[in-house]
Amino acid sequence: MKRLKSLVVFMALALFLVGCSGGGNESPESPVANTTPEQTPAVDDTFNIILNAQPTGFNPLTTNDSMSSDINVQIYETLYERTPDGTDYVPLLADDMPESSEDGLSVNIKLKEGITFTNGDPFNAETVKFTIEKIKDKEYGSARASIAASIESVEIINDHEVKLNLTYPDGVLIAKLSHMNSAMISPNSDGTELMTNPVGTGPYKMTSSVAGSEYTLEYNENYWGGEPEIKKIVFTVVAETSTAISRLETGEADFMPVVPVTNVNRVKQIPNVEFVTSPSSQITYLGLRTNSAKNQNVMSNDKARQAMLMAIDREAYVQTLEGNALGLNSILPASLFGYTEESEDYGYKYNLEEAKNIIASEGIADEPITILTSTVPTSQTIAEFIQSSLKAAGFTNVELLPQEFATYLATAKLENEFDLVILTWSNVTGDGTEFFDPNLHSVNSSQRVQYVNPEFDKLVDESRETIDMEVRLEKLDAANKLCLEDAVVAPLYNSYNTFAFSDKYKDVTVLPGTYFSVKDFKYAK
Amino acid sequence: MQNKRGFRAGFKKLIKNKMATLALIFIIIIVALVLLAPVITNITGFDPDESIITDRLLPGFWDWENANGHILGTDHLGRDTLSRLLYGGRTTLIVAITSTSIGLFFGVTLGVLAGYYQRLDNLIMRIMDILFTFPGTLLAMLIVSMLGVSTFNAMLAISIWSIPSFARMVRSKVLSVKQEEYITAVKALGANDLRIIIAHTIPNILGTIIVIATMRLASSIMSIATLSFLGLGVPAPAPEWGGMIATAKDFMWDRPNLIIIPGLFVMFTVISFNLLGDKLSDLFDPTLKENI
Amino acid sequence: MARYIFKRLVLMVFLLLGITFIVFLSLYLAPGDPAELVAGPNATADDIARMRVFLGLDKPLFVQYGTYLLGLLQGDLGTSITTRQPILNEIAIRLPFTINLAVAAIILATVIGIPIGMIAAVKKDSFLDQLMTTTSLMGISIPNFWLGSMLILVFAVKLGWLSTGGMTDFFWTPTGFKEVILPAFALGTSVAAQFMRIGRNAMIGVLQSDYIRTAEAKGLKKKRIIFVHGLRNALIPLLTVFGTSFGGLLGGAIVTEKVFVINGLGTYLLQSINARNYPAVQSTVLIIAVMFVLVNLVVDLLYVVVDPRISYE
Repeated sequence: MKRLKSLVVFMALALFLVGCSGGGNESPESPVANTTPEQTPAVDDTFNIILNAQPTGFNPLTTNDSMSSDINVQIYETLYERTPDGTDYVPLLADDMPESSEDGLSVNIKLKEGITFTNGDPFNAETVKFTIEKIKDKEYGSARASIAASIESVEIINDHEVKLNLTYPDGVLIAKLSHMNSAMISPNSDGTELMTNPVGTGPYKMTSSVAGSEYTLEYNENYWGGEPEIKKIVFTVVAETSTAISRLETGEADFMPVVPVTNVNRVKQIPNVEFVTSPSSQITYLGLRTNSAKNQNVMSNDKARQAMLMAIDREAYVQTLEGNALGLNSILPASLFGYTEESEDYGYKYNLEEAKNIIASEGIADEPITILTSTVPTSQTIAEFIQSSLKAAGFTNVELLPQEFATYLATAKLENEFDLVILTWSNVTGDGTEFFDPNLHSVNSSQRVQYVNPEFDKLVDESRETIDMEVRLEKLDAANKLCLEDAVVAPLYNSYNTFAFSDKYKDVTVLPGTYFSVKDFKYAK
Repeated sequence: MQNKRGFRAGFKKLIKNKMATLALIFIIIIVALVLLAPVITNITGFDPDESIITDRLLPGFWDWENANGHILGTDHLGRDTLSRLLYGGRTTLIVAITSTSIGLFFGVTLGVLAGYYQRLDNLIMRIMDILFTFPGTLLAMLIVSMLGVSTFNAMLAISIWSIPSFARMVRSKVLSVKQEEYITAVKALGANDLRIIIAHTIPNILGTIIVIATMRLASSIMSIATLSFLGLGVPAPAPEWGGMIATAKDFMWDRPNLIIIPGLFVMFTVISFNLLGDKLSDLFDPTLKENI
Repeated sequence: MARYIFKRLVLMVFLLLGITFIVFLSLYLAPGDPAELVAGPNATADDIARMRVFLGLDKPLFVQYGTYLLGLLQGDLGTSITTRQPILNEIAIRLPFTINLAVAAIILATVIGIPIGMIAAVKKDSFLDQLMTTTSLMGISIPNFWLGSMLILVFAVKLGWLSTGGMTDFFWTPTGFKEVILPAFALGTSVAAQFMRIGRNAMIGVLQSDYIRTAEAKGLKKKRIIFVHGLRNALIPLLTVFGTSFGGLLGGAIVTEKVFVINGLGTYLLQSINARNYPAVQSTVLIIAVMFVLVNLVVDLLYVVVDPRISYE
């Protein structure tokens, strides 16, 4: 009997817990700040940034996960950089735009003078030669050797001028030389050493770190490009989103570069914190297999694929993202080179009636369809949306195949495993060829969509192998139209960057390539 | 025939004990609820996988005006919590029962083999010892990462963890039976000792097996919830109590009930099985307590 | 005795060898390509192929395993596929946090579990006793990741007394204490529950025995007798439970680290599995297995110290 009594006491306690905390939180309560030593507000001149996972390392040639890149961007610099609106490229470490020979096979680049690395090493032609050779070096392990694919050799003309000898006229060269994976490293550096002790020419240098938890950067007094307002940055790894947001609330964190869409509402309600969206080049799109699909019967049928695309109301889905993404009809978002106004009309628009008709007349309603997605929440949600959309159009047998990320990456390349797949691409270089080549080219791509169309391949090759920008635009536009008409891909949405920062600062923004430059941030006086 | 009467008498004694009865009743209620899951969701009209984005993070019956018909509210994707809880319970219980059964099958077999064959005994028991004390979560993680994340693989991983308990117990019983039977067997035709042993041992240990099975059910429920929490159990978006707790953690600030409710269910279900097992062992085999 | 220890150590080596092989096999069979994950989502097929060669992943299975084993013999735990750093260093940074957590949890379990168990025994069958026994039952039935989240909800979110996670210092420092108290509690609860039970049983044993009367006759204080004898009685079963639950404690630490965002070995293991970082997973599992085997050995040896009747040949 007494045991019974004590059990009742516990159940009452449990129900009480449910009752009082279950009470709806229209405005979530903020924890009481300033009651424990580790919650004291940050010292005024330290800018605290949240990383949502551990960075892998700080050699810009060998890593490109977004956490490592976030830090590398503050420390290293490239020859060229993308303009803030994402549409063009300007010289950074280079002194001017490159000069090409008539046939486009030699490119001269003049370098800025008087620049040094934080360890005193000079930046000069030697540096450029060394860096590019390391990118190509099989023993070095660079992450994107393809950046230097067109460069056969680098010649030193003088201390501040190099000549690149190319194997073909490369229209994407400048875009590739703006990518962090081609940032300049000193010839005295050791690849493995750089992973933990980065040395760059940029506005900040790493002064201390606790691997996996915290990284401190301070202003590089010898920086050639002017003094930033923020002199000290601390990057902290906070893997749990809710913990990260509560640090914004208490003021322990000043900047959260990636706020997951599902938490936006909570962040918007924090006083003294601004929530902002900015355009990015990242797109989420749908890949449709044809001859290598699981159900080749239905997927090789052009009309069937078109019907599937017509069944998806992309606008409606974008609405549910509450302003954190943009709908698009072109597979190249507006901030990418290759986009044209006309591309808004390409592809198959939402037309439920037409979709239903096709499905009925083709008699494919009962065909089994499998959608592959990773378990990343944003991908899963759109996959579920597509599943219900297809069902609404008449398909009766639509299954999801959600897989943990690493497994999904591997499965996406296999044949006969799925029919549709959710894909994302962040378009860091801002160039259309750099989207088509790795994703849709029948030879060069990662084989996730397995699109085989010689005409398409030709267009992409031509866009790559010329430096005439008008010709490039023409080819990219044609390629855009073609793959959309062939119903092998369809854009779903173009995410915005969603970020938040303390109102003690201003001019805080995230650029279209999804990285940010702290040297341009300022104090709000 | 002795045994059957003992069984019935044991059952009566069980009912008389209030705690055990309560536990039994709770288990029956939970099982009934999850079996009736389709019926209940038919009534409320909400599918566990149906996500209505505009209805995210709604409250439940405590704030009925804003609840939009959801008795226990919705999660961050607008899915009805009550439906997910019921279907999740199904998954949890099915996984627990299946893995305990697999563990039972292999455990008993190994125990019989170890008890009967002297040479195998040492080897099997050493392995059982290691399996018993080795971090189960770690083992399950490795197995799942090797085979891929799926409900079936999680079941497999958890069942391995149940084997030692059964094996050890069965082995010791077989050994003691072997002691007795040895003399008789020598006098008999020298025919299949193994069959004699099995024929005699199994009825004796039926009660103990039930006790162990009950306790292992409790452990298995805990294990699948833990694996799902780590993302290595039942793959999303299928509902499961542990998985629901994992996703709810991000929204503790906005909707604490999303994390409280599934946790309470896990806790009370596990307690009930533990209590039941506790009382059953009092009845059938009090020496068992320290070895599970 | 020395022979016994030697035999155990030899067995340990075989066990560890077997474990590394199983882990290696399981990762090799797992779907997912580490070269791809390292090269990043924007890589071309070419980039990935190069990366694979650079990481040595194109070599046959037994060559990769052999290289790893050879490295082990030289004290090299391998190089991480993702960070290119020596795994020994990466583990060395994170191991202290996990140990900090585990030790704190055990101390908490001992300090809370045993005294409560003894008090419950003294007040046997009273309401207090029943309450404590029920609590103990709850202790082993509550999922520790849920308990951890609840603790965060109450103490960090609602009351704001403690932070929501992270660990920067050891438990004997003021900051370290505040950081470790919640996770240690979440992790230690099930062990505390078992300790409580044992303390109670041991105490009951003592109370019902003749020790009391003899000692009282000798004139010793009752309370002292009870606690000293009770403790002594409990020592062996406590050791047993400690030995068997240590494995569970390590497993629980992995989960607890996730809940409280602690940069320990458990987090490292989970990350490495997700990144298909084979050598890191192997070495981490190896280190955990070594700890586990050593603790068991120590427990077995302690038996001899505690109870002179036990000896090993």
